[in-house]
This record gives sequence, C-alpha cells and structure tokens, in this order.
Amino acid sequence: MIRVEGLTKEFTRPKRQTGHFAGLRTMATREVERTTAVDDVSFDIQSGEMVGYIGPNGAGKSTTIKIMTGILVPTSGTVEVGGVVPWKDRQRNALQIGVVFGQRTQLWWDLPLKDSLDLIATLYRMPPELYRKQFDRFVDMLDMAEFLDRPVRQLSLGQRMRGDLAAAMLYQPRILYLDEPTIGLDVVAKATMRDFIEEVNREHGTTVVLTTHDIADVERLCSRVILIDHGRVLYDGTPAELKLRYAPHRTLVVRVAGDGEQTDPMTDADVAAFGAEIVPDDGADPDLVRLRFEGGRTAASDLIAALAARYSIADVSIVEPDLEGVVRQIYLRQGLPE
Amino acid sequence: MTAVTLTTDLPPLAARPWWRQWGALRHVARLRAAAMFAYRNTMLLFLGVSIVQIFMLKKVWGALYAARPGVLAIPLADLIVYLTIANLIVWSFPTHTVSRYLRERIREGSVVFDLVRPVGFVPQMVAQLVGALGGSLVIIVIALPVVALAGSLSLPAGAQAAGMFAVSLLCAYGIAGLLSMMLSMVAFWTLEIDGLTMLYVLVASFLSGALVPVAVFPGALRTVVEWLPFQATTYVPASIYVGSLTGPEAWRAIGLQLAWVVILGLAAALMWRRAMRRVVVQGG
Repeated sequence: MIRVEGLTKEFTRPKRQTGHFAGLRTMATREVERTTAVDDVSFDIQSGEMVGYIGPNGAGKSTTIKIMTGILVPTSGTVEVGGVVPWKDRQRNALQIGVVFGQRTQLWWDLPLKDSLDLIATLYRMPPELYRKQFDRFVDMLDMAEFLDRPVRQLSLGQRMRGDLAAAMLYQPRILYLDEPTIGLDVVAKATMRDFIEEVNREHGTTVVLTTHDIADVERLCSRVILIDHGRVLYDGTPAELKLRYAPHRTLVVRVAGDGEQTDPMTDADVAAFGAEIVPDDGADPDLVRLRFEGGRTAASDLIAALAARYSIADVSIVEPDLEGVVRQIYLRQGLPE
Repeated sequence: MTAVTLTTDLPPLAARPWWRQWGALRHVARLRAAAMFAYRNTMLLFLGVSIVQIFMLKKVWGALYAARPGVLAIPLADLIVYLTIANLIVWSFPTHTVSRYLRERIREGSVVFDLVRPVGFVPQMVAQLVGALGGSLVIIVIALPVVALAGSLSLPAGAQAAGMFAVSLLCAYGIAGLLSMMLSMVAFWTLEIDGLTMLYVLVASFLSGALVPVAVFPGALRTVVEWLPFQATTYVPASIYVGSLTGPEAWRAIGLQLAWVVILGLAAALMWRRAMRRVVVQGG
C-alpha cells in the first residue's frame, strides 16, 4: 500500500549570521545551511497494517509523513501510496488518505463541529446516505452527541481530538496518517481514541501509520514498529522483537519469607550458575530480591526451583521489560545498543 | 518486497478539476459566510467605523463646497452618494477576513489540511473570498438605512449605468480579491502579514478614491494612481453608479478593469507556484 525507497529530504535555510546587524545580514546572505531531516529511509507497508512510526523529537517523523501526504517534495527517493506518487498527484492522493495532526485541527474554529463534518462529507463527495450512516456511527462511538452543535473553539482538547479523528476517517480513507493523535489527552480519552482507531482498522482494513511519543499507543495498536532517529531507520519489526533484541532481560522478583529464621543474604555467586545476576537493591525492603536474567537463556522455572531449594520463598513475580523502557534507552543513547 | 499493483489500487473516486467541484466550493463559501457571522460584533464595529467615516466625509466635503462653490465638477449631492457607495465597496472587501485566516493557518501549520484536500488550495481560497463577500453584503443590506442616514444614497444614474455598475463592480471584486490573495500569500515567506495588511488597507483606501475622488488628485499623483489597480476597485464602479463616468469612457475603464484582472491573475498564479515550491510547513 505504501512503498518508500531511499527517501531523503534536505532543508536549506539562510545561514544565521552573528555579530553586528546579525538579523539584516542573515537576510542578505547567500550562504545556506543544509540539514538532512530524512536520510535514505526505506520501508514497505502492506494494506491493513498498523505501523508505529516512532523516534525522538526532530527524528524526521513528521517530515516523512508530510512527504507521504504530498505536502512536501523530497530531495530524492521514491514514494508510492496506493499506486500514486503523492506530491505529483496531490488530488488523487488526497482522496485516499485521512490525516490527523494532533497539535493542529482541521475543524473550523468558529463553527459548530457538525458544520465541519458536513463540509468534509461534501469535499470527499460522500453519498448522503453513507454520510448519515457514518456520522451516526461515529457520533455514537466517539460519544460526540453532546458537543456537536458547539463551536470548535469552545471544545475541550479531548472533544476536539475526537472531532478531528472523526473528520479524518469519515469518508473511509484507505490510509490514515496519525501524527501524535493522543498528545495531551487524559487516560480515558486516550483509551477511547485507541479503541476507535482499532475498530476502524479492523472493519475497513484501513492502513494506519501512527507517530506518537506515547509508547502505550504503539503497544496497544501496532503489530509493527519503525524506529527512526537522525532521519535514519534504526529498527523495523515487531514490538516484541524490539524488546527481545534490545531488552532481553526479565526480572525475577523474589520475596524471601521473613519467618524469623536467619537466612544468608543471596549473593551473585549463588545465582551466577543460572545465568542471572542480582539487581542492586535500593535497601527499602530487605526481604525483596531482584534477579535479572535473560529470557532466552535461562528458564525462569529452573531459577525459581533452585532458589526454593535454599530459601523459603513467600512470593515470586516476573517483570517483563516494557517497550517504553527500551525506547527510552534507545533515545538516550541516540542509537541502538550494540 | 511486494510491488504495489497500480491499477487495482486506484481510489474509487477520480480526481476532478475545480470547475467540476462546484458543490464543494459552494459549501466552503457558505461556511465562510457563516463563520463571518460568528464575528458579527467585530464586523458591525468595523461597519460602524465605516459609517462614521462616511458621515465625516459628508461634513468635510459639505463645508468645502459651502466655502468654495463648484470646487469639483461633480455636484455635491452626487459626490456624497459617490463617497457612500465607494466606502461601502471598500468595506465589503474580504481582505481582512481572508488574510487573517491564511496567516493563522500558515503560522500554526494547519494549512497542511488545506493542502491535502481533494479540492485545490486556490479554488478553496477563492470560495472563501466569495463567501466572505457574501457575508458582508448581507450585513450591508441590513445596515443600509443607517448608511443612507450617515451619507446619502440614491438609485443608479440610469438603467445603463446600473448594468455597467454591476459589471464594473464584479471586476472590482475580482481585482480586490486577487490583490488580497497576493497579500495573503506573502505569509508563506514572512509568516506575518498583520502590519502589511494594515498598511495595504490604508494605502489602498486612499488610492482607490474612497476618500477623495481620483479625478481631483493633483497631476503627478493622478498619473501614478491611474497606473495602479486600486482606483479600478472603487473609483470606477462608484463613478459609474453616480453617472460621473459614462459612455465610451466608462467602457474604457471597464476594459482596463478586465486587463487588471488578467494581469493580476497571472501574477497571483506565478506567486502561488513560487509559494508552493518553498512551502515549508511550520512546526512539527
């Protein structure tokens, strides 16, 4: 459905001068600064896929989306969306895509929400009966009935975002670009948005490209993650694989029974045989021991059995690495761990 | 890598040129007119200012005529009607509405949404101009009694004058619309056009002959003004209305208006292409 190959986008801007009359000289200068926002990015997205397109601020996510929507023309590389080169055939591309930019709205600020939805239906030439059906369904799913007649400028962020989402999906586009659709929303509103996106994807097979800083969005919705930084693709695959590859450690949390009997504290030597190590303790609870082990190499059951043979154990739990932690690590290191 | 098959993936709806999108454009115009009424208080305030200006012009010119009878070739009564009509025309231009809209869209970056619509950006803007114009005309009709009281109104000089006025007014709106679109497009380069809009409105309303008829401008200034498009937006239709511009001379003026529409249309198209080439949507 979407094919991106060798996509590169450079921006040039006049080089900013310093010193006296810096502003004036900046305007007069011919020197330009080049920045590469997207650097040789390639990926293929199949029809019906939901892909999380993630990366730290300034990684090049929005630039890629803007190229795929046909707003920006790339410096080099090819992009095909549903058989259309977006920036060459803007209108045909426009008819098949829906766009949400979380920080902006496509709704008419001064008019009731319903007016904007009506206009969208006309712009995308929806047959009246189809529009009515979709409209009723969306109003119901997104719980919009009570603020349909209110001017958009009076809506809360959560209400406005629901309106924006409805506007982007009303005409059943085959492809949906969601750029930070849950930004600034509360937990309940986020859940509503995610459910809605999921249902539309399931029912219509809509292809969804989602950029977000909320990794929970990705975990909940996406079967595939493309991670970019400094304009380059760092990872392309399933979220599970991302975790397995870059955060293979799981943590076994053991509560040793404090039954009065003095037990020796566990040491690294005790668990090293099982390929595990003790996570340095914060000392808050002396009975709690955290052991880090690699999911693939060590069976949790072996480790537990060995521990149970030596200590009396009150409670055991296993903490899986979360994607958020993995992504945080990657962002902080500005690259993938080796 | 799976290749995307070109033919089966075509969207069910085919692209359409703007002249086959009347429904969509009408809808945009209607919404813009409706949005104007969301700001009806501001609109009425501006109209009030215009009416005060008409009243003051009436007093000033009345005093001038009393002190120096026959200072202009046109009779005082006609001059007052001219000034009233001219100021109404200037007020009804949607310059402010549309330039404010475009500036905000460009600065916030929401112009991206206008660019990913299946209807071209320029037709959308024209529809907005038309809608804004329609909205202000409705307000003018409502306010007409007050306007007549502040200035003076009469019927057009004759049936032919009325017809020519209609044609000339249409051209005038075309010119004013193109000028305000070009003004708004400056925002693609500078992001900020508030000051420029103020300056434009000030200069344009003077050079258009809404305060002083172009016919009485002194020599050099008059030549300059005649070579600028502003007088074609106001002076020409208002003069035709009161009958001070008639016959072949009036037709020549209308022909000149049409020429301006063509010239400005080409200039605006060129500017639009350059704007698109350098579109860097703000933020994100």
